[in-house]
Amino acid sequence: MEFNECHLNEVSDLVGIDIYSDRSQTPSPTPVLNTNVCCDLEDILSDAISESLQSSLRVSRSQLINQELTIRPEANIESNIPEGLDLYKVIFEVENDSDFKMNNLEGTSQTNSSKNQESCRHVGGSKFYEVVDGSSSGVTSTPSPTEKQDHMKPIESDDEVSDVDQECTVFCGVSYLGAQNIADPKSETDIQRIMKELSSMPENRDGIAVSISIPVCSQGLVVLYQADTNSVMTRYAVNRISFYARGAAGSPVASCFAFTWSHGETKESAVYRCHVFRCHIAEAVNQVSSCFAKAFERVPRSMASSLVGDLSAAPSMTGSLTEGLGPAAPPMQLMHVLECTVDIKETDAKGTFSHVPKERLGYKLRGGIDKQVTINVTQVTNNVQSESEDTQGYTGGLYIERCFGILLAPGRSVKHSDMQLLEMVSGSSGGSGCSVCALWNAGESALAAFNVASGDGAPAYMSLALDLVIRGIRDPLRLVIETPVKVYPPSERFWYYSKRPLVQQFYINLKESVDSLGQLQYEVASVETSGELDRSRLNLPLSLSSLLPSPLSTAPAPPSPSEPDSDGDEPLLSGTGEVSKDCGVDVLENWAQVLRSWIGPRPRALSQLVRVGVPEALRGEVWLRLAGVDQTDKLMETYRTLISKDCPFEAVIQRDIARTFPAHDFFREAGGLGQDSLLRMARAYAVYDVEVGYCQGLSFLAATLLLHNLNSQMRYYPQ
Amino acid sequence: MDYDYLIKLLCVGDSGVGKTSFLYKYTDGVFHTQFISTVGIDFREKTVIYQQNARQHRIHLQLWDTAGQERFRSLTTAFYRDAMGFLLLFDLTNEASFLEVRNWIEQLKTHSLSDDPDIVLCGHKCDLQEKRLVNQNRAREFAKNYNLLYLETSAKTGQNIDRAIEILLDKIMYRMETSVEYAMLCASGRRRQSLQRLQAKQDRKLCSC
Repeated sequence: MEFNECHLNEVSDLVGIDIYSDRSQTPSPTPVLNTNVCCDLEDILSDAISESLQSSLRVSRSQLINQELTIRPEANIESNIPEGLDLYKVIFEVENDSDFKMNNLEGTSQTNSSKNQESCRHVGGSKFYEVVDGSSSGVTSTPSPTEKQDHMKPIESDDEVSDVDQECTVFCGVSYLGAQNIADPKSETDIQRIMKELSSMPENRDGIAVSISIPVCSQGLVVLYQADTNSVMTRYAVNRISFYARGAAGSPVASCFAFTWSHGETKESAVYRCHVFRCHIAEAVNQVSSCFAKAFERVPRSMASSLVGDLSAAPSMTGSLTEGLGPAAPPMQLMHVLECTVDIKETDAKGTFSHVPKERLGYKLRGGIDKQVTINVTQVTNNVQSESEDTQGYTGGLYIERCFGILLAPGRSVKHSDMQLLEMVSGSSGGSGCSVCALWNAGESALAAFNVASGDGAPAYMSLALDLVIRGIRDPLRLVIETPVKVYPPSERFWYYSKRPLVQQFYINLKESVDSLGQLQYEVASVETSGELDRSRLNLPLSLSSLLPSPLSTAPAPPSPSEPDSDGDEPLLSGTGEVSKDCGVDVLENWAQVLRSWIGPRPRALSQLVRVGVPEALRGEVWLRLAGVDQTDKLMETYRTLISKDCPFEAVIQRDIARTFPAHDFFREAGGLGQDSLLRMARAYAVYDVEVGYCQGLSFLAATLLLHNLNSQMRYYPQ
Repeated sequence: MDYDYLIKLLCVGDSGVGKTSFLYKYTDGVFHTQFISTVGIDFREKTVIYQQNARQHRIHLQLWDTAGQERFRSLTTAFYRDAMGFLLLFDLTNEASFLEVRNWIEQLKTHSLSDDPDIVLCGHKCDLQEKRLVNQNRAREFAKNYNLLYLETSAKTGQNIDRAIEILLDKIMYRMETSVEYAMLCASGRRRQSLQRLQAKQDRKLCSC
């Protein structure tokens, strides 16, 4: 067992539970709370307006890790967990939001920039800073203002795969019982035997208390943190885990789980060891198992073919990977994943750039207006065994030397000769990522097709291409992004404003070859793309960022009678829409005042504010107060009796549950938390209001209330 | 939009039998498991070309989708009057929805304009053979008793979806044609009558002379 140098930490002690990570599971008997719900809204609000906290709300994942946070929004959560609940089985899913990162760099770098500049080192063109263990010193480094220029992930170097810069689920309260060599890494009986042996060893009664972080996809790393110091003990690449098994239910090892991992660099020298863990709470094993199953399941498409049938269907949750991913694959895989984030902005009358709205059906462009296209490329390949700083080899991922400009053309599957090179505004590369910004001149004749409004023969698609020069690869690598667009007249005003960036991943398979000089060269064997990734699904619906105005909403489009896009080919599923979460600082300030003075009768300013609209994040709280609910205990008692009664509408309600916002993340899963809470709520109402009972359509109202966390207890109250 | 006839059809049946899926499959050709429950009433449209006696008619179909729940009955029955034909759906995997068909027919007869409305009975979700609870013969027998056309349909596989609408359209077009002919017949009959009367008058005149 290797103990690496402690790098990044802090995540594991953030206590909170993520309800979204385990929608496939029915609620466990342990009461589950939600990060969103538990935060006292008023606290958040007053926090949000205080300048000092703004930055902490904007804290991105990387910041969470690299900075000792004196104030954490999540801190509220702990205090809200009812005492006496055995709730240390907690999960915290880190949110991945690239917008966030950009913001927070600007927001916080000034304040902390002076510290720890001495401990930086240079890799390629980028600077990297040693991160002091936050738990011991309390002082950590942050990117300096100069490094702000280095886009995207400044702290991540190509050899140091940041284990927390991945979406993951962290389990605390786990004991590491040790490891044993195993001859056949895929034999479940052997694993069970080792589990029994290790857990029955007297010196292993307590094991080493650890926290384990499980990524959400097979590209990630399983990370062990020491429970008391929160320092990283070791990391395991998911793609080198060959088998996962949990202790047989009912046996003494029911609270244990284990996985086999191939140690050693090559196929021949691989040694398989079975690592055994025990959860302090037996039920948590289910959660761990499903997290692992999810990690095994989510494989980029090009790798998916090598996965065994359906892992999720296996009730015992023994996920196993066969050839290709497991030990049979060469440990030095030559597949790299690049992630491109595309952003398009348009000039407006004042000469400033504003984001182009992007809907489900693609970008909504206005014809005849100059635009600016920005593409950020980052690497998501996780290659753990690379400890060297040698960027020449492939141990640390691809090294992007240079990046040519952006090419653009109307349509799809465009020939190279038809593509128009855009004038480069700025570009930075060198290292694991790069960023290019180019000007799209509307007057360009080759791009005139984009100036005609859709419907009159205008293109339905546009193709963007980016050429990268990668060290060690002879030919430049071309990444092509094809995305649907719709062209509107220049005077068009958009009322529905969604600006999620276009994110697309490319899987690059490399082939080794030796050139005439005997030098090792690499060739691109194939480039596959994921298509557009739906990032919005990964985000929590009510993140705190929603409280802060985004820089893009400075010029809100005036209301216009134009309809939302509904002329798609497929029917718009209920629950697919997006709710605008932007709201100005002054509005929040007004609300904060009102909420503070709201003791007893309604404040006078309230009705004015409500008429403008209650900000999304405050609705739950404001609605509750408007309804005059103050004694939740009594209410909960009533609710408890109501849901225990028989409901004559059971069948009707059952039928409607799956038909309520079926496309919404929270209600998508049959038997999931969302549907369950909804069923209970609808039943309780049907029993309560005998005259109405259940009426179709009521479920939508109930669902809306649930989505606004109107009553967290109702949502999670165990049956 | 240009069309020769506007025909309104209404889709009825118990809650959850698959009315919305049926209509979506017909108009859009897609099947989704994720439809929301219809609250109140909804409609879908499609324009089709209908061949009749070597003549082509452009027919604009307005397909009204109703809420199945009893509670909305008072609302949906108001729409029965405007409909020219009815798709009556039941769920082959749900016996209660089949037993309700009798009531639905009563409802249709009471509230629709005609005493004998054009109805096509569809046993829906026939792709779920293993969950099937209503026997084909039983449904057929029932349809025969009520003098209805019976089809087994599935929105998932698309089986008989188009056919059900075509059959209903045939019936409606036939009814229109016959009623138009009847009207013309009546009109021409009246003219003949008046001619006769005129002649008789003239005869009388002649007689009186």
